[in-house]
Amino acid sequence: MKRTCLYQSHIDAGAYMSAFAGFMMPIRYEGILKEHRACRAGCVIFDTSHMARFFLQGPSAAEELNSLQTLHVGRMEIGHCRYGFFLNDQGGILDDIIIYRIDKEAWMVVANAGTREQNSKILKDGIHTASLYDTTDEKAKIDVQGPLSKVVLESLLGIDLSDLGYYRCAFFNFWGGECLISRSGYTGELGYELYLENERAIRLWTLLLKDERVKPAGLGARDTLRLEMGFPLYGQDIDAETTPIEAGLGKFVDYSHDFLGKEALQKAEARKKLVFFLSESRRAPRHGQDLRKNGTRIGTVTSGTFSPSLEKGIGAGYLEKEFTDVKEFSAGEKEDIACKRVNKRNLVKMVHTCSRG
Amino acid sequence: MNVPKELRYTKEHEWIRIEGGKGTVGITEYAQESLGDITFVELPSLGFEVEGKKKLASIESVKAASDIYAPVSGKVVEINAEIESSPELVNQSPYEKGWVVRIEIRDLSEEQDLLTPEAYEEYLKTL
Repeated sequence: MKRTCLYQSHIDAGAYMSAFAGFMMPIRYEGILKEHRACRAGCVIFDTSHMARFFLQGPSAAEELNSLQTLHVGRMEIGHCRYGFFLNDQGGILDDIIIYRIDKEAWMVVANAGTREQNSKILKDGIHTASLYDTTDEKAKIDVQGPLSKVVLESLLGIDLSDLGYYRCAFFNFWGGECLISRSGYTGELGYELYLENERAIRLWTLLLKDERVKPAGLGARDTLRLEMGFPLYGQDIDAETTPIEAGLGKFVDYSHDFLGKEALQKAEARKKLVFFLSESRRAPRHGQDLRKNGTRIGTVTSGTFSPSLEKGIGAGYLEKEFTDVKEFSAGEKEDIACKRVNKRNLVKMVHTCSRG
Repeated sequence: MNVPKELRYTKEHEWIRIEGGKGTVGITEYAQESLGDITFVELPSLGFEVEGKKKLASIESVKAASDIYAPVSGKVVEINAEIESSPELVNQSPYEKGWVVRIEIRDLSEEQDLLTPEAYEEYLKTL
């Protein structure tokens, strides 16, 4: 089992640890509910160093990278970040990624931990002249998330983040080195993702933990926070059996260039539709349960949990194509969790209304 | 780990306090800590006849749903309705305010099948 460079700090903090994508990761420290609410109201930090990061550089990097995934990286401006996909030849999602254009001829691909080997192979097979490095092991990734994240980072590091817009990235200097920071995250709150060498990352994590405005948060809260925002989780809500269109993520596919899976995706018929729903009680739908309407199976739950902000069950799942218009259905082993669909925009609005008062 | 001496236990991490033919049932400190924040409890109705080791109630944490099993057979004569509206009581006070149901025990000899505090503590060491 692999460990991130912050492993010892998680153990010292008494975190409940569990295996995730080959890494021993903190699931929770004080408790998922407290960590979740601290992110919506204050500031939390996540160790996301398990996530795979690849650097590409060289005059041919844009062209080579374009052909492998859905983004047209040559048209991105320097300092921009964008969300896209690696697809298979059927248009199914092999991974969801964020690409950073960090310089004229340099890009960073941030991908999931569980798909690192596969992505490494896709990149090695497709990148012939540009240089390619996997920096996952030598650099850490720390996500600082929550309404106080900006003031916390500015005051602790002596940097000014005012000019860093949403989905933008830049290098900042502190403690005698550079740190790539993007304004992004997986929580729906103001937040930043920081990329820096392991040694300085340990120092930064320790400093952040000492600040009374900051709480550490684990993968448990990360999951409830992202589901409340309607963000999909790879391996659960999206996988090789789903296309970006079926997942409602078609707008992130740029058809202006050729890429692996493009033709299949243009021809593919949507077989199902990813929807979000709320339970009428505190009882949560759970991954793998059937969605039913009057006894007929109409779909499957892909993610389900208790929503700490709405204080009721929340879920994501696919409705089969004949049933994509159904608004109310039930989940649960005994078909006893009544659920109502909610569109992503309304969900986000409800969560923010509840958590911000 | 808090394992009160006056209770009996199961390997599924339920406890029972037996007094005057009735048993108060709940989940142990270990169980509540492993589950994490408890968000929902489904209680049986009053009068429910339960067999020992069969499902008595459901409990959900943020991450997962699980069942609470009856340590002994009997009839449910009291339920802790407070944990329906405040399930966090099970985390905060698993042996007191977070009790789940009270059962009228059908056959007191079933107590022999339960773990003593010492045996339960030994069992926890193996996990």
